[in-house]
Amino acid sequence: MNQTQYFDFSKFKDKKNVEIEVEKIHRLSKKINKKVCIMEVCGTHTMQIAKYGLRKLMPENIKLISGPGCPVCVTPQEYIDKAIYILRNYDVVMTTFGDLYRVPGSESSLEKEKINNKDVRIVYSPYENLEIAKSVNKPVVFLSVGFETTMPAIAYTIEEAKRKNIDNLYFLIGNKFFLAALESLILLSRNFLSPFIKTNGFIDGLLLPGHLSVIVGEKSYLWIAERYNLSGVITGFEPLDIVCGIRILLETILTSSARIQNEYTRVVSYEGNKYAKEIISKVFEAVGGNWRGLGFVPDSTAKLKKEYEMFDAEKVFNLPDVVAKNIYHTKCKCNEVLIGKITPFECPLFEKVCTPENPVGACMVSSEGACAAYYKYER
Amino acid sequence: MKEKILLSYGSGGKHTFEFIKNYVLKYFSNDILNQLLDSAVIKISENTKLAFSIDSYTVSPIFFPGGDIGKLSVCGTINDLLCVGAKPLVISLALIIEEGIETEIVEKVFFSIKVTAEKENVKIVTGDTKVVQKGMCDKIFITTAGIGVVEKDIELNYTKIEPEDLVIITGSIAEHGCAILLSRGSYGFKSEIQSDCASLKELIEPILKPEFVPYIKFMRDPTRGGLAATLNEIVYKSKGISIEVEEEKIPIKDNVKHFCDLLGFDPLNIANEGKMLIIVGPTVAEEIIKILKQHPLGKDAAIIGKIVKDEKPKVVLKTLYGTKRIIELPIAEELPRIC
Repeated sequence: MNQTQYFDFSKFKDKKNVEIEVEKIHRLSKKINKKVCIMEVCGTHTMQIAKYGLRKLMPENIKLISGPGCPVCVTPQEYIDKAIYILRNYDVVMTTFGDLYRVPGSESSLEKEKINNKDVRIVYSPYENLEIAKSVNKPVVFLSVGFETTMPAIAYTIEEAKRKNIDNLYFLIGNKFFLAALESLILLSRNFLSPFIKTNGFIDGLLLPGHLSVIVGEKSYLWIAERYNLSGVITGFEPLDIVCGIRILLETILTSSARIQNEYTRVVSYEGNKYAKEIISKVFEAVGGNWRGLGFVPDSTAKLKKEYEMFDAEKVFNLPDVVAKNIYHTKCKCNEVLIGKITPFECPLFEKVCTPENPVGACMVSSEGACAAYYKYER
Repeated sequence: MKEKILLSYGSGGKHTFEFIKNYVLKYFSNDILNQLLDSAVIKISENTKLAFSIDSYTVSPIFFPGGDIGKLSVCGTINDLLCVGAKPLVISLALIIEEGIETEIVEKVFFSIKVTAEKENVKIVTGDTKVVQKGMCDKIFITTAGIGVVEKDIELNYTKIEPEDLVIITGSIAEHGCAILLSRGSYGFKSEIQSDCASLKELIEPILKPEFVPYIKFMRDPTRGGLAATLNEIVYKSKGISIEVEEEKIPIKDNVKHFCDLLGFDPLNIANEGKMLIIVGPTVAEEIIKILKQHPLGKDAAIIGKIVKDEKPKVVLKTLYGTKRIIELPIAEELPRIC
């Protein structure tokens, strides 16, 4: 059977319907008659906006700016250094999502370690680790990164490993709670009030991440409108979704007080996925931690709960205090790009010193980072 | 740390390109090689030009939907000869076989080579066999070299490409790469995507008619690195031109589109093994399309873009929505993303 037919997104790419929405956006922008800044906080949105050139379809006074929404971008460099330390000092199989494969640590990357005969394997789903662990006679270490979107599948894998008494599978936990960072981002952007007006303007609305919302549900964002008087639309990833999300935001800005709405109703519910949320909180707890760009964010970093500690690679492998060497170029403006204060073009290193192959900062490292998206499609 | 060879040096993207520039040409630079065409064209006498090409095949798995390593090794070399407008004549066949694989598998590959070569009317005229210890190669690696003759008036080269020329693709893209990824079976779902692996001899020969020859500027089969790599190479090696292609016009099958959407792949970066990119003068483009469409392998042939004069050479895609964006030279092979 041809199972890929379930992934037919063509009606959400339809040219005519996109044009109709863009026309509405132009009409609304005239009525609003002031500069409006819309931030997408999800890396996949950033990539899609660049790939389909949607930014260029916007009226002059509607600015689309990119936020910190890529799990790889915000993963601190020391995380990669820890992974490489394990690879070099222990005989293990290391498994990872493709995203991390080429991300540089302070002096190496997983790709480079693999050519030194280290066993690095790319997995598509965390469940694959269960099979890999069964098939080898050595420890398997999974590089566990990702937001709430990816965490349920990882938590489920850890549960299964426990149930099946698999004793050679470990997780190097680098998962982060996006919702906690979102609040930091909003606060940070308000502190930057004056430069914002000068460059991009204040954030007037948020395009909220589609797939993360499948897990956390619409209700997880209500505080954004209540506490910060800011509107947001949960938006899917096809071009039609994105222009619809923008149109809905503009309508809200024009006609009503701040609220959270859901464009991606075909997969996102009000409550979210109850089972997925339960398993996240069964296995993980939230502690404070560092984000590239945002700095220390309280209750934002995942840690395995006590009953799952035996799967924690940090506990099992003897890791010295690996401190990421400060390779950041002093002129690197990632911190400002990640919170939308400047666009990648405004960074003095962009394209000249910092490229996807030789990234200086976090936003160029990940395939879904704002700088990588601008470099790939919008130069 | 000493520099080492990365897998991506063989991916057909930016790393391959740099490897050729920094290592291959450093040692072997000469007037014929430096043209970096799919086949070398060697002038033997006033009226005779030979095309000579070589390619190694290491595909895994060796049998995949739509083909196998045997068929691929014959078709690939025929297609490389066709790229310079040659008529393929003979092929050599060098095998590296892993100790311990069943002779039945080798015979199956040989049968496929025989059927393909006979159908295309090329002879396997010489060869070599080596067997290596288990683990030193993956079942079977094949190297084929091919010789063809090029008619006196035919000369395809980057230097002939001019502004206003049009870009033709002979059919739907990205099928081979997707079929291979799927046949490795690690995605947990099935699809009917077949590799497009095919010899393009019957498709291309009819367009090499004397009245078209002056207007056919350049041909290349967009294999590793896909259409994106081929278009970028053309822009890089020509002077002062950009290529603009239109997303809407690039033929792509629905199942390939859905597969790529699902895994976050860009079909423009994915390999083809039975397609030709042809750059022609504007006056003959429609007629050439008509001829291509008469053959089953060319039924989806389309004009997908044009050459424009540009001081900052680049490949530009006009999206479905009329906006423009860059098509970058892929750096390495595509990796699936987290989300």
